[in-house]
Amino acid sequence: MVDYALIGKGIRRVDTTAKATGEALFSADLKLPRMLVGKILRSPYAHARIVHIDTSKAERLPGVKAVITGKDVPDERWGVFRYTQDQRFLPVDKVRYVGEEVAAVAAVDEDTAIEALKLIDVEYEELPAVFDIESALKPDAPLIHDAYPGNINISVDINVGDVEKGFLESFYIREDAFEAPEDSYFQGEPYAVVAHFDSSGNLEIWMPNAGPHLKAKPLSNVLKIPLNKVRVRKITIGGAFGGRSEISPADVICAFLAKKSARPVKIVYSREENSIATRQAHSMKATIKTGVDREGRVLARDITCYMDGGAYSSTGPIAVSVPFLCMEQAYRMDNVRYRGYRIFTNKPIRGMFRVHGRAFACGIDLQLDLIGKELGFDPLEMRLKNARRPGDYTPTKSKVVSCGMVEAIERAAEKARWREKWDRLPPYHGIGIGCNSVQTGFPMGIRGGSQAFIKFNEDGGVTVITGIVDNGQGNDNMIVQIAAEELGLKVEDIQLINADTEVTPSDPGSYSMCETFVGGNAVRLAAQDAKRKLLKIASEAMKVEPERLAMRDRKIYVIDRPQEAISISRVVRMALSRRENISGEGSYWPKVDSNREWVTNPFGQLSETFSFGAVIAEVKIDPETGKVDVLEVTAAQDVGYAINPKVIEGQFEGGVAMGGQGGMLSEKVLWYGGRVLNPDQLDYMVPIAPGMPKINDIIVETNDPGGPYGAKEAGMSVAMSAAQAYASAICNALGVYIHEFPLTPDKILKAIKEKEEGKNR
Amino acid sequence: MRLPPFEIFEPKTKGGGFNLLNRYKGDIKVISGGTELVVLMKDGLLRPRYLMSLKNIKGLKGIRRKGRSLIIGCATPLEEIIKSREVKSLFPALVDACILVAAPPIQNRATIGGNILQDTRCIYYNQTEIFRNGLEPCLKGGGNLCRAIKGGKRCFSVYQSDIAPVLIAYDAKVKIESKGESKSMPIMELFTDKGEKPFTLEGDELLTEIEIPIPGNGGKGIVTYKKFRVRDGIEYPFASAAAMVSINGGGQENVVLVIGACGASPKRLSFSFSEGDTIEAKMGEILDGVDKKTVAIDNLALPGEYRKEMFKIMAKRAIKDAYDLIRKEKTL
Amino acid sequence: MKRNVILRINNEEYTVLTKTNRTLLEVLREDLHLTGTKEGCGEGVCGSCTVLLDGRPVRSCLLLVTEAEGREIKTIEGLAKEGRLDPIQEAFIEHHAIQCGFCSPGMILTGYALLKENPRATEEEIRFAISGNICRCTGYVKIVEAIRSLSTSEGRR
Repeated sequence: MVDYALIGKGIRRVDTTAKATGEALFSADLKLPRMLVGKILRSPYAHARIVHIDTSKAERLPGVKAVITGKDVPDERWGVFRYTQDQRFLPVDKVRYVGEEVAAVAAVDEDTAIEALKLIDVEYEELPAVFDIESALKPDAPLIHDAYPGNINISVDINVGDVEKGFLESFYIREDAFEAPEDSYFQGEPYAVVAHFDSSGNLEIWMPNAGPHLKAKPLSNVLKIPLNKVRVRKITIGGAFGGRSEISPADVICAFLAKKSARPVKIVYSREENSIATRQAHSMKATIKTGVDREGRVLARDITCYMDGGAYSSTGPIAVSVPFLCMEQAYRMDNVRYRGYRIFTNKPIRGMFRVHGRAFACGIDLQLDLIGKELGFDPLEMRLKNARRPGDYTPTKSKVVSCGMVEAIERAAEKARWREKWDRLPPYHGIGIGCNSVQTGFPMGIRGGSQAFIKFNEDGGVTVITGIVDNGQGNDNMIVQIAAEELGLKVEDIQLINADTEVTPSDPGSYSMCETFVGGNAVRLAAQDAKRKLLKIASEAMKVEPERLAMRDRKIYVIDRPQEAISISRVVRMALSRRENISGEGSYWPKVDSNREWVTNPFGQLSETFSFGAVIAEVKIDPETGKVDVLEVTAAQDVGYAINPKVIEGQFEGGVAMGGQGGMLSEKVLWYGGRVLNPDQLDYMVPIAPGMPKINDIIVETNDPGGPYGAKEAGMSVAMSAAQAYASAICNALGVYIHEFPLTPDKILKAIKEKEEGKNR
Repeated sequence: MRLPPFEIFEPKTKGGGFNLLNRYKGDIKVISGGTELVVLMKDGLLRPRYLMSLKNIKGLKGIRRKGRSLIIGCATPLEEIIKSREVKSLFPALVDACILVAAPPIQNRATIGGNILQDTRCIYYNQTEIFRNGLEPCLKGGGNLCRAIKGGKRCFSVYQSDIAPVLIAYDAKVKIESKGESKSMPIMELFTDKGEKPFTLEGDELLTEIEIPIPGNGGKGIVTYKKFRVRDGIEYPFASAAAMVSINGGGQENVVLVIGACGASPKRLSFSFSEGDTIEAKMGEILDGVDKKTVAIDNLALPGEYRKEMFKIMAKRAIKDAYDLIRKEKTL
Repeated sequence: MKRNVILRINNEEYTVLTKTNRTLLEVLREDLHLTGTKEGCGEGVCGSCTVLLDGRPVRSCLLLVTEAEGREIKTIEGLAKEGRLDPIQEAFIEHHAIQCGFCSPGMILTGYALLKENPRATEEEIRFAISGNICRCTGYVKIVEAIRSLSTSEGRR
């Protein structure tokens, strides 16, 4: 065990004092001189041709400073990949969902902007629309994009080993279908953008983002200005949860309004706009056929999955793949076929979500329960028999370097007293388990690496410069904790400049669970670079070899004679008097297979390492109402190493709330055609404080050889496996397996009644 | 979210208020807690030209005794009712219901009058302009169609007050005042049972007081309230039931049941039993009655079929609790 | 229609010339730059806009600015005294009860008001008190712990 000064300690986060006092500024809090209010006109139709837009009345309204339509924005199309670029930031030909951006205004105040929107006349020619996968796939279905015949956006086909042979050799085979409607992020902070051009044509822009550089590039493309003129600024961000990684039409619209009006413009989304006009998560139908041997080990799997992608590609290829990848990482499956399809419909656009693919993951896990029931193994045994182990390769050829899946399962089972409880709980009580694995990033080409700089001041203080962004999960603190540890400084000695595209170097962003692993490594390397320079000077001054020196408590000291020490600030001044500056640079590029491609070549090292988690939930069901009381949840995850255990616990607990309590008990988008009926937290039932279960956090550490201090991912595994554990526990309590999620009280009551009727028959 | 424009009056006397209501009848809305009105206005569902604030009018707030009744002023916040020892000892189920309304910060502002006169709700109606744009207005929105039921000719929006069912069970009356007029009526008479216009109140009338009779020593009834919601906070009831069980000297038991979140008005049922009847027999009859008298359709976030089932479960639990409390009192 | 509205916020008096169709939230954020109070839904559901009105938490998004006249308003900016954080703020930081921070001002004020009124608040009472404040990050565990750490009730953790 290494004796760290700060790493591994649950120190206070550096960002939370400002958040506790109201000082922290979110995008909507910004106010610039002469700033205007921007508002967006949205399509009232799910599918319609735009015949004509007349903005003249709006332009004449006093107080209106700019009106824009698709004609004002160059024909640059957004899509994460070259082959999925299908979304114009303001469409000119047709609209494809209710809520799509059609025009925008900037005015002196909000009331004027709202009035101006009403003065824009848009003539539409309504087209037939489709709102679900089945209708979109019908031969006579209206075509949403000319470039995508049959409304099939993305197809992924992965075939590994010999699936047919595997089934032939299987002792028991079953096929089940699982489905779940759309879920949604409901970040605390509704989306907001502030944009401002200076007289030299530099754009300054603030918005919640999960990667400022990922926002800057499409802005540079559409505005036709070089990247060094696009300054995505750091701002406090009120949650992302997988969203907010992509450019939003609001970013582009705000920039064009600012350009046209030559004044700063702020657009603040309403809660409803945040729910319909930013990304939402996919609805999903997964058919899973699994064959096992006599011992319950999986010999073959054949999975087909359809996802409703809404109107545009967004992160399509990634979204289709990730649910499968998480499961192929979590469980051994040597012979497997996966066919995934993302289908276009006339609904708002879907993106990546922290609990992406609940139907898929819960399906895999529930089916293991069902198979175990046939063969006489409990869910825990089924998980252990099939759990991923270190040294394995995943079916799509990623090596699993470190893996604490078995330890996570065992420790969760021990804490939850699984073996005492299984099969011994009273009626309508149940216990269940879910396992998952998440990537720490994936191949991102030229955007896959992170770089950091460190600068020393003469007083021994430090400034760290990195592109890492904090969405609320504590990344700012992670950077500071690493830099302070490496340099033997106090947290307060570190100043942070991050997530600002003008000054900070490139970074992949926080949405792929790689900030600690990739960005954290870069910060650590930069600190080590500066440290090397300091130690060299100190070694000369102290007449001791640099290898025998260490840094702690603002001092450089001799390891075996700690009383022989010299202050860091003195060493910096020594360097300066020798006309040498102390600074550091570090870059980290994860060891991934850059030839891997989501659709054309889904093989090779996907991520340098993976996290593994297991959640056990214990529930009690009210058999008269179907309401679930979650008694206790135990969340265990192999996070590699906990740089700050309190932060990790927060991720686990938030994950249980989002994936389990919300994701499996209540959260679903309700529709009226293409309209969202519940864009608010009243009818989209995010969890609240009463009713949350007791949560046990178990941090499993496998010390990944590539991770900073051994750290991996911590934010997503628990959220996913909590959904699975809740589903498994509820079905165990009911003795009935429900195949449609979330497990709302009405569905549970229906299952209870059907079971009783079955008994009476 | 912005409010549409309006002019606000802040009269200092009741008389001044009634004059304003009379003068701007149809164009004026009363605001006190604002917890519902402001939302409806932000959603663009209400666009009154004038608002009348009750904040400066004395005598509309507070809890006092008058003879054999307790009077609660219409502008009394729920929080004051929750904290009132008198209400707690005389009408504990009213406190229970107030605690179940939304969440504490809402209870701190929302008033009892506003809660009783809350508009009926429907997931297809309580939406913003973004939702409504491009759609025909529904019956409640002044149009001719119903989105919840294809071909529906009347509005099925749901009255979701937690408090009204309990007040009905307590036999409360309301005082309605307008310019130069004052009347008192059983609270049930407030309801039209029509989703389009749920209340009998005219635009110039104000519900000023709630009067709850204090039961005499002999025939004290027990009232209980049960609410179904998915999470234990924030939500309106998806189904609720208030029960009043009283036993008179001759051993006759009277049960009054009020079902909430069922159509555009609370549904009141009454039963009477003799002491000899088994609880199973009583419950069977009551639940049959609930089944016959309740309808629920798919116009809230939970399916109608399920909500209809929950009316019975809430009724059963409310009645069971009431009987348990009576038994407990007897043994004490 | 505009008029002068006199507001008492964090022990200071402000005179604001404003249209009357505005909420306290809008005036706090737009006119007085007290942006610690957040708009999360604008419809009284999420609790991000919580301020204290005469010591009690209310939704500032549902409160007409004219209705707040003559009342004592406290926002998150008014909690720290002379640069020293209030113990509830310290507790939220220490217990990691803050992640993204968007719900924090409302949550902290709600916790503050609860403990003023009920210094012995139990876990159940705390959960009820914050039942109208939605947090999407923490699962509420550490928020409850933070408030509980200042409660004098027996058996606190």
